[in-house]
Amino acid sequence: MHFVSLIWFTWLAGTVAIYWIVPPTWRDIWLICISLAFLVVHAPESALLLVFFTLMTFWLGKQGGRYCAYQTALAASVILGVLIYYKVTVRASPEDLVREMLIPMGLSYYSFRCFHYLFERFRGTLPSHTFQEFLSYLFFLPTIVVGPIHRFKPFLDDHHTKRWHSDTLSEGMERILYGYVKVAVLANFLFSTQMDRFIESLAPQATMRILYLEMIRGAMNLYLQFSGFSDIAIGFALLLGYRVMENFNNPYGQRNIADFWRSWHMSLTSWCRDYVYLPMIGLTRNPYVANITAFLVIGLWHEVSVRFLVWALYHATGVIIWREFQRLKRQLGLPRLPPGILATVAHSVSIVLTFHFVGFGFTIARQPTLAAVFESFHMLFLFWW
Amino acid sequence: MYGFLKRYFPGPMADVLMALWYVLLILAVLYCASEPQAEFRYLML
Repeated sequence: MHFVSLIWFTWLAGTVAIYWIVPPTWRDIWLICISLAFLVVHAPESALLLVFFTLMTFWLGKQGGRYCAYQTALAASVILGVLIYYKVTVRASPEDLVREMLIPMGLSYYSFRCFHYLFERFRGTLPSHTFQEFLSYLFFLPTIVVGPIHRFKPFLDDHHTKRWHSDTLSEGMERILYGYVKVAVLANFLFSTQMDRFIESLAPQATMRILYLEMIRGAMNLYLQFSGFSDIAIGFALLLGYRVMENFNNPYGQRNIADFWRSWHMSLTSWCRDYVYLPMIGLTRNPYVANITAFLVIGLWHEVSVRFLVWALYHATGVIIWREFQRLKRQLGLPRLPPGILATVAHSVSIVLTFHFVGFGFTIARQPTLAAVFESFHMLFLFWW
Repeated sequence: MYGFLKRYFPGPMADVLMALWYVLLILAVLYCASEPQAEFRYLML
């Protein structure tokens, strides 16, 4: 399935047009039906799972509050079990084609939305709502496939206030266009096709240079594709009158790894902050343990494998070292650089270093085995040995 | 971007330039969409 295609564009335009033409009471039902039809056509297994998750999450979490702890735990365990089952199955299948067939589309995203709903229901923070509103939240077509993992309360607010507005509509169309430019022009054409050709044209013995360019290509391609698809999702949601949360905020322009993680895949990182990091801080009073646990969840959310475990620990270590460095700076009372040329140079160098740290991290995540990771790093950093 | 154009170009000129910019982007997307599309792992999560 390709999202840069006439079929997809027709589907999108048709969905939006009919959504605004039908009477307001039918709009939710139309959107739920079209989302279900989309999943049934492209991923029937995912449609079945989402229906099951929706019914179970709503009925087990509907009482809300502390006295439904067992129901919440049961629903969360079932969802976690299904998620782990698919993630482990994927790990056993190295071929991408097989992986596409095995993973139910959007499972990682809607599972985390269900967790969010269950935990907030348990805390008693959600306003009263109907089953249809909850159904609209989980079957929200723009965010089903590739996120963002948006929250229920802002969704409900938009749900009650949404109305046709030409400004929102034009903002949505512009956002979709920029998303397509990122995906098709920058990521696919420039950083995949053209850069691949350039890398292939290099002499085969220039291994280090090839690996370095591959790292740049991979990092740029991933960011542009992911933020492009997020733009398309956010734009599509705007066309329907909803404003879902942002997923990226110039991550490669950040000066340290902690800031990078505040601006990369923000819907997932804020989810982990709220439901993993902060509860772990409360439980252990140890920011290191909380930090490592949050990164392990982020890593294993991508894939249950050794390489993503290593990738998660790599980033957790980076953030911990950065925090310790900041603490040491405060203890030593080191002054900030005064504005000027030196500060600008330091600023630029820190952006470049952060980008390289993240890029080398993606190299870990891209290699099929741990041995291949060591081989790549050996060729990159110890190429003379 | 539209605000920037409005500031420096009077009257409908900013609108025309903005429309040309969108047309350029659409043409670029259509041209590049004919290339084989790269795999994107986040679609499979």
